[in-house]
Amino acid sequence: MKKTDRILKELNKNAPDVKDKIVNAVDWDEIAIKNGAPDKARDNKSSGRKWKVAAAGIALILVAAISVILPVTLKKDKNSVLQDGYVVTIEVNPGVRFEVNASDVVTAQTGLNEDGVVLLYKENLVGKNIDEATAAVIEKMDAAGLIKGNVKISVSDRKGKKLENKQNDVIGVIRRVLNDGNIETLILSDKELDDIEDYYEKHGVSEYEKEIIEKFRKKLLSEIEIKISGARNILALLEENKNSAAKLSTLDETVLKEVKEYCNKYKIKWNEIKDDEIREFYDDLTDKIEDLEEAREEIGKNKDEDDYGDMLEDLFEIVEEELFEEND
Amino acid sequence: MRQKRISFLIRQLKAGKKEFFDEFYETTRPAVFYIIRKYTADFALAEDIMQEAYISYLNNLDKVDETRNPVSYLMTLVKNKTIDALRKITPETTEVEAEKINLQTTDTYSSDMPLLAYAKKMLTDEEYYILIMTTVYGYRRVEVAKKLNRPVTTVNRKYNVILKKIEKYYAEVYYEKD
Repeated sequence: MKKTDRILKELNKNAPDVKDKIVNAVDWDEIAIKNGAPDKARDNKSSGRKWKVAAAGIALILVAAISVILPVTLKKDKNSVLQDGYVVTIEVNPGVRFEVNASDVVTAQTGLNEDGVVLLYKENLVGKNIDEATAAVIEKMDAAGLIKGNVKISVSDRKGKKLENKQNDVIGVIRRVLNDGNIETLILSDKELDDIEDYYEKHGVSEYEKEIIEKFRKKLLSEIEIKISGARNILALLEENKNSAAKLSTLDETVLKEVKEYCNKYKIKWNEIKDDEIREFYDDLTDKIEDLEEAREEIGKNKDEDDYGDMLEDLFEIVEEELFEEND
Repeated sequence: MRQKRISFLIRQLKAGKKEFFDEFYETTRPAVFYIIRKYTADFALAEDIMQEAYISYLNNLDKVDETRNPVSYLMTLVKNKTIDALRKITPETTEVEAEKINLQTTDTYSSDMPLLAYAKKMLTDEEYYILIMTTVYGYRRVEVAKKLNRPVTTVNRKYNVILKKIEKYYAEVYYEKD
């Protein structure tokens, strides 16, 4: 048992179990209705649209063409905050889509084609304000030299109704990021929206997203195994000195070299630990192996997530906490 | 508790999928009970408070933004319901603000949770904070480091020290060896 789990064991042993009473006391259908899910089996299809929208969807597709600059109002309409969220799609080829809640916070991100998936790789914009997320994506597209002609946008609610004010907000962000370059904002037509959706479904882009995540997961698992193996190797070298109070810096030259290489590889500052006792370092490594084994298990559990942005962020947190031990 | 997993669970609960409540409950129960236990050792009262708090939380899920620390709302709800419950028991405090009520907030767990009690007594304030935040509330060490405004490496090292101490305290409290 993990040492700190003993604390949880005490709490759980003494905590009342009222789970069944709660489940039976709550009207789950009412909860679903209240949260905008009248049909629990619904898959968030709006009439005439096949977008998978977790909340109410508004597609915002930003189109910028090099020609006439349309007049844009940057004033946000504070009176038209939608009860449901909306979806923002930015199509430059690559195309990306954000699902946004009523507070203008991104709740999900999706690459609409293979390049879009790659663009969003290692970016987790979920939880960010839509302006911030839009700016981040446009900056990335611009830096990659992708904005050469049209950037297409569209904002609509779940019923397909266009939201002009939201569109104008996004246009404003894009113009600020691109320093008001010769970008024209064009609004995607319904047919263009359908074409994008069709491409997404026909080409299995969501599968591509899964592929990328899966590759990253496998790579991370591989790196964790390598680190566990490296740590065990160090433990084996330190075995006969594992109870020694002598400093690490007094180790035999061959062993010291291995220890320093391990520290260097995993960003452990040698100067901070060289005066630690060998037995302390040995214990730390033993604990680290345990943490890595738990991380390995946790990576396996992540497969149940349906939000790939969340999955990626989890994986990156594991890299930050367990793989590399420095966070500057 | 992993925040992303919690967000996922809440999305399912909002869709009325009660089969996901089990995991949500088991994940949050230790923290919920920890908060109640800070104020009262009355088991029956704790039962009522837990039930009320979770039911209220579920009935107000539409107010919960699953992308922004959704469990903190549950914890606030639990604390407020605990205070309200204790105010009802102590009639003379009905007109007194909650903060002035003589509530038990000294975390005395010695009889039912001796390891926790001993850890609170023996660890430094910062060590105890790291222990509770990581173990009970499920925050990652990177998140705790941000809250403490300390480098992650510092929190990692302190965490490892805490682990060793907990192991030692466990042996002392329960008179057992691993």
